[in-house]
Amino acid sequence: MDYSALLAAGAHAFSLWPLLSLLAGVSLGLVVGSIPGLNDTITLAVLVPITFALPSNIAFPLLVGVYCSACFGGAFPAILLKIPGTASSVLTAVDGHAMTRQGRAGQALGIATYSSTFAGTLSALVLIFFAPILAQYALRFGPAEYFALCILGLSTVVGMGAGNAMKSALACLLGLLVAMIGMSPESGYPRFTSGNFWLYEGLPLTPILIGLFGLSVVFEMLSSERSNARDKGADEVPVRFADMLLPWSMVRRLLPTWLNASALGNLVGVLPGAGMLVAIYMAYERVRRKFGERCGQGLPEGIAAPEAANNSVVASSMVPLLSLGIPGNSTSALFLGALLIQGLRPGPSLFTDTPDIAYLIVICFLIANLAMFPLGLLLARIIPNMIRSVPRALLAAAIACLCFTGAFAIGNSVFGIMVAVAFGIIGFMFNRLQVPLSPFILALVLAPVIERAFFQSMSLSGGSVAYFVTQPLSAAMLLFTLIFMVWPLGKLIIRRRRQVPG
Amino acid sequence: MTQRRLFALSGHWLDRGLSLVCLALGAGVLMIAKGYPTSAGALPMILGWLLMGCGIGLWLFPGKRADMRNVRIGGLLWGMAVFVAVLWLFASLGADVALFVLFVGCAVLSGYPPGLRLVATALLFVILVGAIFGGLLGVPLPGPVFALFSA
Repeated sequence: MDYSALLAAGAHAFSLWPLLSLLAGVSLGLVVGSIPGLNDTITLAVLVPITFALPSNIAFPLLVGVYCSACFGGAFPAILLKIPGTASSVLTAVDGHAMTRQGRAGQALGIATYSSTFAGTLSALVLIFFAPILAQYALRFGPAEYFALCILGLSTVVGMGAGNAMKSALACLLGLLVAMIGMSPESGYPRFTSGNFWLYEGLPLTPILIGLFGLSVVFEMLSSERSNARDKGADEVPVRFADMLLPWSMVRRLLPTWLNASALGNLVGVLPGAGMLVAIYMAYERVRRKFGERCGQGLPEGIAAPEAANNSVVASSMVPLLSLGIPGNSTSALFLGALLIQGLRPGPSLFTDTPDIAYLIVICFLIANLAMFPLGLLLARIIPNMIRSVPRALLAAAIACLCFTGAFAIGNSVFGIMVAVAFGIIGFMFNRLQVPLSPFILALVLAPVIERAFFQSMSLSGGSVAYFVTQPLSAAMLLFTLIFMVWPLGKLIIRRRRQVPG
Repeated sequence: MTQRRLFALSGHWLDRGLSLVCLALGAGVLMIAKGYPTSAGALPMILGWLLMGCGIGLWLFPGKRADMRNVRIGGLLWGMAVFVAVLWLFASLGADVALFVLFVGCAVLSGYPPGLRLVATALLFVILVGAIFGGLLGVPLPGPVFALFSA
């Protein structure tokens, strides 16, 4: 690892504009995370096109700030109003709101803040020390290893994803199909273009992401019941600042839960495609097994586990993107878009070609997590009132305008908007039909890498498919792929056996 | 639960519909990819077969959570109509007019009461977008008002 580059990036991150940008990102993330219906991916989808006019040292701190704090922001309405601000705070709402009803809202918010900061910081350290080492190792990867790694990523997202595995597989195949549009990387032959020259270059990634994450939400708002109502939940809950500061005894009590959940979150985050929900459900399940019926009735560990798990997934999900060029989840796919817009090449060479930016990004994750603590405590009293004052209708209009402008700005053409609108409809249908988006995005991003690596391997081996299993690392990854593919079937058989009486 | 299982717009019937779409898509991909040279057509051919396999799998093991009830079709269709109109306005009149129409259209369709307050909010928001993109970030957006910011 290049320690001098790391130190230089650390010093640069504390200079005026990057630091201001980072703090603005953290504050923005806390606010958008706490507004039900908005989350980090929507905000990043809107922000990525804006960042292409910004220098890298301002753009990335802003994006990192939003990404780090948005999933923590979701805990505010989950605890106070029992409305999860983001999907990652679904389980926080269970014990968090129970504590609010018991008059312990301040303590619940404090636990969420401490857990998120602790786990986020730990995960940022994993990113700082693990990503450059993995990148150095990945420089020795050949096409067979890349092919196997991409296939492993896709199988993880299908096999370990929550919900129907068949639908995850379908999303994955559709993503691959959309990525096929345009000229073949091997022969340059146009595929699925219908002679339309706009499609020869393939569909642009950022407008697709803007549509899937931003415009799909607008369609959801337009198709739900008309109302000028603001988000209401329970009555206003008084939150005292002093209650949010946890006593040492509570910190000591929660420490094992934080460590457990962080370890789980980091492990799941590093796996490309495994997803945040898997981590929070696994961490909560451990707490439920340990505490039994007390879980769900205002147990502090019931907040600490999901909050620590979701925040530890955030930074560790950047490990595969920064070191291998493979996004770990949908949000890091947006980061991939931002890196490409800035003219950077994600992957092993990022740390050797542009160490200043690569190390700045990883250092920003650490600072953002640390900044989340004071900002979270400060904003915890303001944000719930802010949530109540935002009319949903104006929110839909503002998101639509920003999505249209962003999709246009990427290529300075209306084609970007057309792509965004089309994928907005697809995203809306996916949400309604419970088809997960992550496999689609991951397949879309990985398809060109898979195809290129496959043909390169074929030409290296003289057309022998056995080449993939004769390379030890590639063979190991393909073995894991097989395990992940068989996993849903195994789960189904075990569940059916348990259901059999006796 | 029973209603959910029986209603055509929810549960496993929607997934069965999706599986048919999947089968049709797979067949379409196979037909198109047949005309491609081997190097360009290999992956689409594999995808076509896998899509058809996935369609059969989804028909046999449908989920129960897909739900198209409570979708306000009118709102959705009007929304699409506004988006198409805004696309045309974007290309012909400029981004400023288009974004104004988009803001007002989306707000009204989502239930915000039409009136002077909405018009003023929309104007302010569009000017803010123009100022950020054109003035601060230097991204030229087409349109007579936005041209002032770029200048």
